[in-house]
Amino acid sequence: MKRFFNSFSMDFLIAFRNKFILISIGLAILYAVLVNWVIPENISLEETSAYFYDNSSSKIFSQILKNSDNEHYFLNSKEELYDTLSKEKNQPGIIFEDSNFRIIAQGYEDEKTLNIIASQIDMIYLNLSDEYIPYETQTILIKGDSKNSLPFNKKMIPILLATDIILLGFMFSAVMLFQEKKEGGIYAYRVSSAGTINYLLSKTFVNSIIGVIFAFIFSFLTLGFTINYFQFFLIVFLATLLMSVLGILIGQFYDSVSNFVYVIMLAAGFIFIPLIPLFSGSQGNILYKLIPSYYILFGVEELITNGRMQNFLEPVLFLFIEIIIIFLITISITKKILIKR
Amino acid sequence: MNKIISLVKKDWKNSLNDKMTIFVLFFPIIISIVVRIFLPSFENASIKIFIDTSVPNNKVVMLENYFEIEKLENYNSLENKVNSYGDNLGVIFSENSLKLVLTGSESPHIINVVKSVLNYVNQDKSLNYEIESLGIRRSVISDVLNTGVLILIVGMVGFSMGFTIVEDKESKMFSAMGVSPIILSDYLISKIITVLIQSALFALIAQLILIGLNFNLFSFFIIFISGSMMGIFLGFVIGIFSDNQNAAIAVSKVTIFICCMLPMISFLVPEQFQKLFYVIPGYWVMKVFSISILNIEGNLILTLFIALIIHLLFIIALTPKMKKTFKIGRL
Repeated sequence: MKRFFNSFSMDFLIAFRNKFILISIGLAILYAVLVNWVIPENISLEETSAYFYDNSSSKIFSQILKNSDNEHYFLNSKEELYDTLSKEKNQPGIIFEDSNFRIIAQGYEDEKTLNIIASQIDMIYLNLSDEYIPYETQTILIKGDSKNSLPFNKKMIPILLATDIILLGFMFSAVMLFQEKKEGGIYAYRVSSAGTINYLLSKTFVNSIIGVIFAFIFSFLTLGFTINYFQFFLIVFLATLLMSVLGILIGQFYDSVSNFVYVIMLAAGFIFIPLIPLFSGSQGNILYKLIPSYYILFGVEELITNGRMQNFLEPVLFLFIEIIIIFLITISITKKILIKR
Repeated sequence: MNKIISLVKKDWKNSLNDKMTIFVLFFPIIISIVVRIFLPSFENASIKIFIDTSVPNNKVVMLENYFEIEKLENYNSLENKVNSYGDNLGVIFSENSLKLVLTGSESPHIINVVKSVLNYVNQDKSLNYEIESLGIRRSVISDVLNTGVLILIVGMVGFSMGFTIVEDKESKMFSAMGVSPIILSDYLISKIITVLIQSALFALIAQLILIGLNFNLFSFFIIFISGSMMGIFLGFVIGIFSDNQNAAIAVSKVTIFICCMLPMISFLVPEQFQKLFYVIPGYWVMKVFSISILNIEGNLILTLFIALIIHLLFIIALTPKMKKTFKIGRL
């Protein structure tokens, strides 16, 4: 234990000297300013669902849609519609005729998406016909605590937090390693009795604590007392720990940062991938769940919105399993490559 | 000219000496393949709903036209699923109609879509419509993603150049250059040439994997120019302001925030505050990107020109600092 604390305090000093802690605090404050005052609360990410042309004799469809809440893009002629479609390429077009309608798809849309659009348009025709039976689907709200969807600026918190603690953990631990390689600290380690496990634990723990400090400042300034900080710190700690171990595992094969930046960027690319399910509102398949940032993003978002216990245990468990596996691999490789070379 | 060529050769030789260079060369390939694997789920993000055994088969068949469906054994497991994270909506059948099960924290857009489809399905009407396809195979999302990858790869090379400048500093190369006939502009031009050759190579590989031969040469060129411009600028800032590799990481964190993240955030900020971002070089690169890919109104060539001028002005402003830190007095 004493050996661990010795290396821990030494690594902490190095992190402090390298201004890692200062950068983290500075960024946390900057991010808080961004979330609180720069990023707007409401932003409409969903644009119009389609472009329309009303070819019916009564022009009733343009009247109906113009009176609805959503904004609709009506064009004056078929030619104009086709022109817009070939220019904008992001939405399909719809031509209203008297008794039926035609969808002009771009070509890349899947059938289900087109069917959803078609059902909504057909509903307008139904509304106008005699067959229509007014009907509103009933909703069953389960466990009705104070559950609201997050405003846009708050939705950025898990993203900014996860990308940063992950990258900081990954980068800082690797950079500490490079510095030891360069300054010869690693040679001293080879003849000391501290051992590989202490070596890894002290570095990763220092990073995890920096991660927690960053997360605390950022979340306290944006969310105040609204979240359970114990759960929050646990997830952040485990996430940074995982990324620090990964940083050391991969960093061993490099001697300097100049080539390692490519790995950092690749890691950053991977980290952003789980944003796809996060923004599209799905859980994503197993491929996504294998990426470490997945559980951090979803875990933190869950803590901010609902804080349901069952959803807290899953990320913690998965992060824990990932850490153990990667830690064991790192120990054996570090012994072979770094310490005993 | 000979001096510049020998400096470029030195940089290539140095970068090829490293054992892990093989990874660097594979970097654009790896990142492009990853994007290709995940792209389909980006483009066809169909909505998934969960149903229990109460939903009759004919309704299941109808719902399958609109959503991806997962059938669960009973209402309890449906409730658990709805309660787990993500926007998981449940649908059950009771009192002769379909009902939506939710927690309330789901995205309002998804709730509205599912609700309107359920309203329609409850009418028991079969869907029938005419369709015509314009035959476009790539969505705007895939264009944006491909361009993003291209900018990342091209910018990366310049960014990494910053770290080689720091290595040159650490290895006391500048002291050696101070007594050689090499002047500052030779050194800077050699760095820019190395970056341009390397990033052109990487960008082409990535483009071929992502899109194949059928790409728009003009927009490729525009993205290549603006991406490398940003990368080279980042590289110079990192090289100038960092004395060692650790400091370089710290400096790059701050520079990336100012030059890349702030311009991205500028998209979310109301029109009247956009002017605040004009001084950030990366803002103009982002503007070029949005005009050429997202079809946002604006003059592409003029914006590219402004981007070039702003980057150049910043580099000129940095020259005195460069002379001081690189210890090569002559320009």
